[in-house]
Amino acid sequence: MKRRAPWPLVFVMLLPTLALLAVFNYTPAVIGLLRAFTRWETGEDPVWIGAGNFATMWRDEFLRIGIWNQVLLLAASLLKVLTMPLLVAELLVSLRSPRWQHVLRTAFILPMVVPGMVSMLLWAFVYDGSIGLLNQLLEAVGLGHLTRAWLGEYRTALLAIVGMGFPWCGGLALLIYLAGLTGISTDVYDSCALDGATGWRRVLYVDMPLLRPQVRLLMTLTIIGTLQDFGSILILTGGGPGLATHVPALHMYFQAFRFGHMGYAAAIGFVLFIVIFGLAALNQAAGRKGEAR
Amino acid sequence: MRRRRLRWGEAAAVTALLALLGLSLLPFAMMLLLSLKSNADIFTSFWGLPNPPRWDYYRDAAKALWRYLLNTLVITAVVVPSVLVLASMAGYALARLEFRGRGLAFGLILGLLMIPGVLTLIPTFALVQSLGLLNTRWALILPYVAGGQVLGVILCRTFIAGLPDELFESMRMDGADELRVYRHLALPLSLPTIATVAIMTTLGIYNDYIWPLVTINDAALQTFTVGVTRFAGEFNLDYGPTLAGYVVGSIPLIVLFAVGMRSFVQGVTSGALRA
Repeated sequence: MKRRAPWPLVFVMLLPTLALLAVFNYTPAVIGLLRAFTRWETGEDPVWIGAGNFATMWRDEFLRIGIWNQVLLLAASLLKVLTMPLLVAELLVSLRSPRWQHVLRTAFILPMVVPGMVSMLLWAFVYDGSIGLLNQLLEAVGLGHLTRAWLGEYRTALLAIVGMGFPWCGGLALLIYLAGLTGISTDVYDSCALDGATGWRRVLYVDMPLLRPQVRLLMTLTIIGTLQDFGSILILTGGGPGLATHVPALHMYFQAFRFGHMGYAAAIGFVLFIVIFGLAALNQAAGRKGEAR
Repeated sequence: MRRRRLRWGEAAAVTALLALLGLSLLPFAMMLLLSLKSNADIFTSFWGLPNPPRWDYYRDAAKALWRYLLNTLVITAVVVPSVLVLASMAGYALARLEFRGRGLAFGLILGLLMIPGVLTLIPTFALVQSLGLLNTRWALILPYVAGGQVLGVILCRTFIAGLPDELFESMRMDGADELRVYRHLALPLSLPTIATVAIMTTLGIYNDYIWPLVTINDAALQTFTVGVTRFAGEFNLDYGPTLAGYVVGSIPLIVLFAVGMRSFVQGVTSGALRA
């Protein structure tokens, strides 16, 4: 029989948390949803205009190009997170020497130690037009005619953004896959071996279904992360050259902090929220359904 | 025959892993190598060893970056302990105290995970502006404490709720009040979770770019992540000193991970993130 906790105690332990969240998280979220329906320029009072901002978005050519870039970037991000870290995780657990396994795992997650901004600027150096690492590598293998300013040319800029972090195999995704794989019991593997399911076949028909929760989590994180992240693009290309790497979240940022159209930016944020929420929910539901089968 | 095949397979696996590892680490290795070379040295022999090694670049970089690093450190030193205290207390209350509205309170906190930063960026900016906090450390500290707790509360609640009931009952039987149970039972047992929360909060602060960019104008208050982009702009085409700056800026996180990597990896792999 549990007894009720005294109210003063609950207040002391929970109130600071809830108060901070109410002021700095819930209030802005609600205001953001409401201001999406206003004409609100920096320094002026918001004026209710109903769906006006959304009509503007519909006709916004910049936004349309940004959405297309974003679709490509999201597809590439999902592909990256679903292949390379899983491959490395499978190779790591296939090693029979625990020492090698430990040393290599540590080496692969080492880049996580470098601050995100430093990695990003480092990739700007990799793509540098005059003496960048990529150009030097191409020169070294006799492909000097391919060298260029990778982030500065219209045709290669988006590709260069996708290429950041190549070969994309470390980090949180690797850790999550490893956790999932080491969680699969050895009994399962023993019976696989008896049934002759080894190598690729085991990975495809045994590991992949058992890793569904990890895949679902990583896909959700990737959807949320990719659609929200414009910091890296802002630093590397600023959306350019032209609109080659423009994305909706960056459009929102420019509208708010360069042009002062806070209401319009809030409306873009509102739509992004719906899209992110919808895609994440869809992904969760699809994953659950697959597991139930 | 079978053994032999397996060994070949393992050799192939190690080779593939080493190749991928080499590619992954190459930019970082080149950062270290080129950070010691002058432009002339880089342009004449890109892959060669530094000749002579320019250690003075590190001194220059440290001189240019120390204030930004200190600012980040100050913010982290205030935010992380606050987050840990608030998150573990709230986590305890939500896991172990019986009160009306407990489910609702936890649901409200969980729901925050669904609200993306792009939605709240502009209203939060307007809020901080109307509170008169722009261009002060509070513009960073308060939202970081508020936002940082969300994952912290969830992880702490999940962990504390998973501890055996008998431990709590026996301590309560002995006449300990709830604050005592929290301080002397729940808190010590949840240290690994708390370490994970501490590392994730620190990483979040260290890597945040947009928020300090829009709220802090004063260079004397700016954090490392924004500061280093300005620094990279100033030294623009002088590669050695710029790369030396990147190395200098990475040192605090390297130290943090050297201390906390084990518990972080354990926290992630033992399912702290599987919620």
